[in-house]
Amino acid sequence: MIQYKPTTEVDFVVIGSGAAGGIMAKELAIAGFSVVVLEQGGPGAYGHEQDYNKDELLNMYPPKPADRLMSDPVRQPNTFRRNDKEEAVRGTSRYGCVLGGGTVTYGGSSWRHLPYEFNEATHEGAIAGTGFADWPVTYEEMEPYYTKAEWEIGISGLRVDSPLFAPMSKPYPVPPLPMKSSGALLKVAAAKLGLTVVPNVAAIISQPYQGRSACIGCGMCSGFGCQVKARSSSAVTMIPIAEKTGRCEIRTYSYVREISVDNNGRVTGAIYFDAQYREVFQKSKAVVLSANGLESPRLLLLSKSARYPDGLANANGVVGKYLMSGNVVDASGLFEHPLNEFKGIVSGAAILDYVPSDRSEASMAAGA
Amino acid sequence: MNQPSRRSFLIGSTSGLSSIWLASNWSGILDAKAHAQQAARQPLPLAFFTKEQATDVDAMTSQIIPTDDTPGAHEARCVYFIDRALTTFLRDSQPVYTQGLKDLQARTKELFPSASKFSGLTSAQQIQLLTAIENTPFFTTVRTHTITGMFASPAHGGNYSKAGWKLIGFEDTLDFKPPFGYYDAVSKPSR
Ligand SMILES: Cc1cc2nc3c(=O)[nH]c(=O)nc-3n(C[C@H](O)[C@H](O)[C@H](O)COP(=O)(O)OP(=O)(O)OC[C@H]3O[C@@H](n4cnc5c(N)ncnc54)[C@H](O)[C@@H]3O)c2cc1C
Ligand code: SF4
Repeated sequence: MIQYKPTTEVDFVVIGSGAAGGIMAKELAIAGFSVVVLEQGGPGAYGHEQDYNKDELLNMYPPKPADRLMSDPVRQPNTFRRNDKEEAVRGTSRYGCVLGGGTVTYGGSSWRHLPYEFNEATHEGAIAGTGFADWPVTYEEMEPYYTKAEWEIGISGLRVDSPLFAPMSKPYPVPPLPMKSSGALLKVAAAKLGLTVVPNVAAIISQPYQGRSACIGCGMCSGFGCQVKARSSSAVTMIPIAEKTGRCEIRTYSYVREISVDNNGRVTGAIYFDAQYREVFQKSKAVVLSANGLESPRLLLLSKSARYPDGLANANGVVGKYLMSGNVVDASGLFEHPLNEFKGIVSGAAILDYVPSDRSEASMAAGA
Repeated sequence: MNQPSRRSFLIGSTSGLSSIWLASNWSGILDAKAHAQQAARQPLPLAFFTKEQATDVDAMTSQIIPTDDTPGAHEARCVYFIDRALTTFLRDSQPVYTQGLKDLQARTKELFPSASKFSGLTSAQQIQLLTAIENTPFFTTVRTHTITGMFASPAHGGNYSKAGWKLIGFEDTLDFKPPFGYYDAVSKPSR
């Protein structure tokens, strides 16, 4: 692997190696740029994925805490409050903290957004107290990139012809994973309510693809690394390609604390702590900040300078505001026969009807 | 039919597991495998508890996951999981046990003056006592650790002979082909 000196000005520093950082590293390196990826987490089992362990205790608490695949709210505390009048309370939020970021341990559900969601604010109108806004791009502009990503990363799913399903110029590269017993039950129950259940769309391959093995349904899935490389993480898809160009250096255990700027307000590189907690300044022409929804705004706010006293990219004062987390609600029940949900991927099925969509079109579809 | 109540008990018990007891010191966890192999040979050595303490903890765990027509915490050797954990990755919980077991002893004598130790009580008496302390940090800690010892990998000293896994029908082959369960087997293919 190529190694750059910190004093050598590289074209790009990419902060974070997850879903976004992995793709950026690969695209930039392929395009001929010199790239240094700084990742606070360890390498995980990068390159020897068969060693990912499936012991729940060891996985959560490896002998070396820095080798956890997910961030540790004890070592890196986070606090929450809904507004600045409330007192902040300790949270237990965690994210992927390893080479490959969240994609190493995620459940892998990989749905496209619907056209409607790109200009939802226009459709729904303003919501007081929020930053609700349309995206600056349209679905039509994004569609070729969705297709490119799905085929390069390896997504399994079934293209469904419905206004509740984003229109696709190409089907998924591999067929959907099998529905589990929970999916089968959901399907029967949903049909009674007139709802449509389809196989999940997942970044987990159901057939061998690009030299990687198909999912063997081991069941120790979300929260664990995949020992057969079936989960299409950045670490088994994008990052190896980036490295192979000979232009991309990956530095793990590298925690960035500041993006530096010069007197003209131009980025000069990133300051980080290496594995030995030494402070290092990596020079670069540009910085890609892809440290996820929590850490990216935090790093922008921490990157204060005379020129940017409120942090970077924060002229409007909204960096770090309007954070919205994905909410999960679960329920459990007793059934007459075994479901064996400990087998297979996390989620094999999904109900389409609750996606945000043009209601008039959707109700037409439901009636059809 | 004890199955439904046992199952709902387990469902109710597992939430919050990770946050409560998995929080602190996990160094030494890798030695667990060697320990489990050793623990499989009789007599089992104790790392933290005295023999008397272990007997009381074993009795407590046996009330928490009792032995009936299927193995309970005793057969799964949860006490050995806890004993080992307390000298390695769960060191922080040592005081909870040291004090908790003292209190248990005192409580036993208070409620049943003729008895000398908790493990010597009848099952009904043990349940009466445990019900009285069920909201104490000691009891909730033992309960959490019992459940964890029952279902964590046998490498950590409990779940002996995969007793816990067999109880809930969990297989650890990590390689499964559909159909996975009853309902996907009987349903028509989705595509
Ligand atoms: C258990 C789990 C299950 C999930 N399931 C799903 C799912 O089924 N479907 C779905 O769509 N999403 C799921 N997600 C969410 C998904 O993983 C994330 O939304 C996605 O990975 C975000 O991509 P990202 O590139 O923005 O950030 P991440 O993938 O989080 O990558 C950011 C990287 O930056 C690193 N980093 C952060 N700060 C610094 C710093 N200061 N210096 C250096 N490096 C830093 C982090 O360690 C991390 O590796 C799941 C997440 C988890 C944790
Ligand atoms: S269930 Fe499939 S994708 Fe998930 S970790 Fe196991 S083999 Fe990998």
